[in-house]
Amino acid sequence: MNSENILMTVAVIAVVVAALGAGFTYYVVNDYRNALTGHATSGDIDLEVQAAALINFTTDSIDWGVGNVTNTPGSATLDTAAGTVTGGSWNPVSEGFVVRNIGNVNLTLSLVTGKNSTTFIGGTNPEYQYNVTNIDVGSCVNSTGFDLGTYYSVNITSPGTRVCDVFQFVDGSDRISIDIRLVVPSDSLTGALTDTMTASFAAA
Amino acid sequence: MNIEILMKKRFFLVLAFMLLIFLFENGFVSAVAGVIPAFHEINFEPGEVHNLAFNFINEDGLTLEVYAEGPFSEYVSLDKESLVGGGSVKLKLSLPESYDTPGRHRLLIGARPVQESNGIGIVANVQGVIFIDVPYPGKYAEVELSTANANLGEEVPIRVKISSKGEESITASTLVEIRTSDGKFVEEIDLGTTEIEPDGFIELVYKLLTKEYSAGDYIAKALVNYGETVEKESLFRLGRLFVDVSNYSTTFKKNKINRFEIEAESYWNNVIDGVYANVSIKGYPELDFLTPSLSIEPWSKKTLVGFFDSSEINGDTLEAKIVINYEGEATEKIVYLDAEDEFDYLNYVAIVAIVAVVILYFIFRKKHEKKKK
Repeated sequence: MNSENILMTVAVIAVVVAALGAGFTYYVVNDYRNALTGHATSGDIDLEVQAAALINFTTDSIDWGVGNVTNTPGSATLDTAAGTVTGGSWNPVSEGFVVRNIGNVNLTLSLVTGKNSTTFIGGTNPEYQYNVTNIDVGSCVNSTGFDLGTYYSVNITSPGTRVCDVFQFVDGSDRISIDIRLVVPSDSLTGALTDTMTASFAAA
Repeated sequence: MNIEILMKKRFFLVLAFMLLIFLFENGFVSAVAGVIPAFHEINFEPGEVHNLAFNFINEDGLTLEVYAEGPFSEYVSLDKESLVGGGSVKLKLSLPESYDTPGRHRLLIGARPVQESNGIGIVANVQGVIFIDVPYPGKYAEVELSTANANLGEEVPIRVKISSKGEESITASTLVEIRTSDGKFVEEIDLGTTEIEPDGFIELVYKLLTKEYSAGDYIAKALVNYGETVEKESLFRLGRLFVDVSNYSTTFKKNKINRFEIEAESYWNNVIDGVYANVSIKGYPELDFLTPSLSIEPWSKKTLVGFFDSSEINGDTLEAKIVINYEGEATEKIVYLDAEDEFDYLNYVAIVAIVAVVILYFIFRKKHEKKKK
């Protein structure tokens, strides 16, 4: 092998090594490119907000305590909207159920109870009524045939009475009150009288 | 830049995690109930199978019955029948090969409590919704129109959303008519013609210039023609900086401190701060009074309240000038107040007592005379 051939071999090896080096450098730089600051590229921030149907019962129970009808024979009226008890010795309650839409979608709202006035209170001419009002203006867009601020006898037939076609979630218009009015006759059932109102809600 | 984005993403993740901890620590403990997601939306495709999930939240320890209700409920299979407190429910919805009723259907997946609370209580029956859009035969479009209130001279955004809900695509031409609230034509806007595929929609947005308009109420009517014409209306208001006296006290009591109420109504599309009234009573400058100032929300009413002493007022009618001050402007109104007829219980009791004494006197005298006889 003469000196020219040796030189050529060295040159070929050098070119191959240089090419490999260039490739390696390109690979390493490319790999780091995404971690380097100062490299200008476009970037998107993707964010998906899930629709959530959420309500909060700020007040979820009404308890007038222990008492009896003092207006005998006759009846006592217990009313959370008026905050009064007339004709009876129970403690007045001035707040009904308070419901707030804390989600991010408008809801429909229906109400049903487990008992009616006869099965809950009993006696002669008992009454068991509820009344829906907006605490914040425009919170509940009432259903046709159901007026806000009016007492209605409870409904025990599922799925209940649709009270709000739209129960809004917007802050400042997202709270309603459900007041309860009972007329307890002097010959009512005795003992602890209990019932549960069920509020069914879903995305409007 | 990328590190910055990465950091932002991490920040949002940490923030979301902290928010979740906060909500679970503070909110979901007691009386919060709900479902996430609130709904799923699907387009009806014959025989298609959907695997979906809802995450229910309710009171700790409360046993919940899981159920499906409404249209398509017979095609649902749930992975569980009950939950305690809440949890995830997975479901399989196997759509039938055909469905006769077109339109949007509302399938409910609910979790209702099976226990009663103590006393009179309220519990939540939480329902997730699956909206199922069954296409109408042939061509069918649904149109939504929305507008927004503005002040005179500002732009009013008009949005028309056209959804193709039929089995065939549609070519829709859209016009928007503007009329005054009493029906007087103002202008017509052509939003062009668009082709929309089945299950597709397009939202057309137009910014209405109102420099040539007057303040007041207007009706926008969208007329979308795709072979048939669909009409939708939306009311919008153009405001001006004006607060009116819409109501006020019309009576007063003599010789008393009287409460005087003024209902102020805003016709402006922004909040007006610092609204107050200056009331002067004709002939009695010493009784002039100011009301405290307050803020009025756009297009709403607020009651301004002041007091005056009527002990020095003679006569049964008062003339008062109400001046409502706001943003450097003032609205004046002259009003009249009538004295209330007061029922004087003391005089009434005194008269009744005197009459009773006179009657008793005559009764006793008669009895006395009879005895004498």
